[in-house]
Amino acid sequence: MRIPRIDMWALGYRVFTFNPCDLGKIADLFLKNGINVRFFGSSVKIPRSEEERVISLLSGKFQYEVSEVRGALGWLSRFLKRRGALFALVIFGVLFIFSSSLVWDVRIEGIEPALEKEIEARLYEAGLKEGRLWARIDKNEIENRVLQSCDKVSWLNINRRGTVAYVNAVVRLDFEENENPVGYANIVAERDCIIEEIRVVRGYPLVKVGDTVKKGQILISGAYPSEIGGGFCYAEGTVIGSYSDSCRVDITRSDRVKRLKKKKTVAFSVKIFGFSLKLYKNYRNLDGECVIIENEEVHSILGGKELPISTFTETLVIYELSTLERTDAELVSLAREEMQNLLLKDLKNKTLLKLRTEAEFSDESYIMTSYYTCTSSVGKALEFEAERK
Amino acid sequence: MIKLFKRIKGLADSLSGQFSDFHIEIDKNKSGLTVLVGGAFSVKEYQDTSCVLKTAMGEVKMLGKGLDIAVYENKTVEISGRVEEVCFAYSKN
Repeated sequence: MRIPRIDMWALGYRVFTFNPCDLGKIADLFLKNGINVRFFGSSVKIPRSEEERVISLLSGKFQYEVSEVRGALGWLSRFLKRRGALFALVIFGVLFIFSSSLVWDVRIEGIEPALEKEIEARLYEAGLKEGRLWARIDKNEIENRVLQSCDKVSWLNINRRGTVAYVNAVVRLDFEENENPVGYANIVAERDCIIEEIRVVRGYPLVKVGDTVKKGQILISGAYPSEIGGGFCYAEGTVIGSYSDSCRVDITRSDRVKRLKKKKTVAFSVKIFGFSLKLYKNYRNLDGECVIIENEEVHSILGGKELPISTFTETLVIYELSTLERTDAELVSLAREEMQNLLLKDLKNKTLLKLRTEAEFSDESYIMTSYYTCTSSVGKALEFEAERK
Repeated sequence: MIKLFKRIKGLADSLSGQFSDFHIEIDKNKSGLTVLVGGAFSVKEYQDTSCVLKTAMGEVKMLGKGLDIAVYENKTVEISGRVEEVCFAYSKN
């Protein structure tokens, strides 16, 4: 397999063309002097590194023609000789570097079109516009100025990607300040989670989608920063977070259960016009678990009008405790049912994302554990008192 | 592939990576055949239709059409093209 001569293409080579009658002698000359060449018709390609040696071998003995330097290096040397092309290359480089340091476009995301125009105008006033040098743009200052001047935006962030400025904004839906000094609150996290969605009705958001928060961390603050005017309010909004949790069910192999041993009537009385007539009564010292059930039955004529006569019965139900041994199948069935009820209770008003259940038998019990990831509302209002000056 | 080689006294049996005084390989390629002759110390004649090499074993003559030659520093000569005939002849070194 022929190996491509990358060194010749990179460093350059010349093509030597000979008289066809001399090819045998020239091939013999190259063979005896240890020069690697391949003949293409009457021509050979000689790398720049061996050029002098070949010329010294051939001079005075054979006639030949030599081409200009070919390959990448040859092209570059010819190119550099053309001053106009070199100058154009330099000018192009300067223009390219200069143009990439300018803002070419400002794109606003997360805002409805009606508000986009207003925010664009505010950004222009603050100094973010097409044609401005990136080095002269202070992103933090522009963000603060726009938040101060535009009441409808509660959060703003400017990102640079290449030559485009991407502006992300969150709209404030309502803006009211509660005058009652006691009526201020922050929205705090009820548990550790990752923020999936945040909708601010009132207040200043301190977190954004994707942030990891701890239990008790303020999500929407009821205190506005001084850069945007200060003040307090009762923060309102909805914060949806995702988190993982688990629930466990443990069913023992043996259990103490109540079995019905005996049931008997211990008292019977009749009530007529509100007067009670006890006809039978029999209570004894009772052993074991027992329950007395009282039942009053009102009589009526053919299921219609009720008569002022009713019978009153007391029934004694005696239980005995026994040990119930469950089979593996019963354990699994009970655990499954209990886990289902537990999950229904835990996942009420939540959106389940992922669920994995594991179970194992032990000598004494069957343990089933379900691990789940879900999303739900994680914010709750926590009131605070603000100092009035 | 047709291989012919001569054992050199004092050298190992394996010839990988190294050619003896005489070594010839013939392979097929797109244009016809590639004949690789190792241990060639002289190109006696080379034309489009014929090529004669001198080796320690004698002369190797190749006849055909559209023959291209390549020479290498380890005394190997490669002839490629439409090789129709390969002959061996005795000659004094």
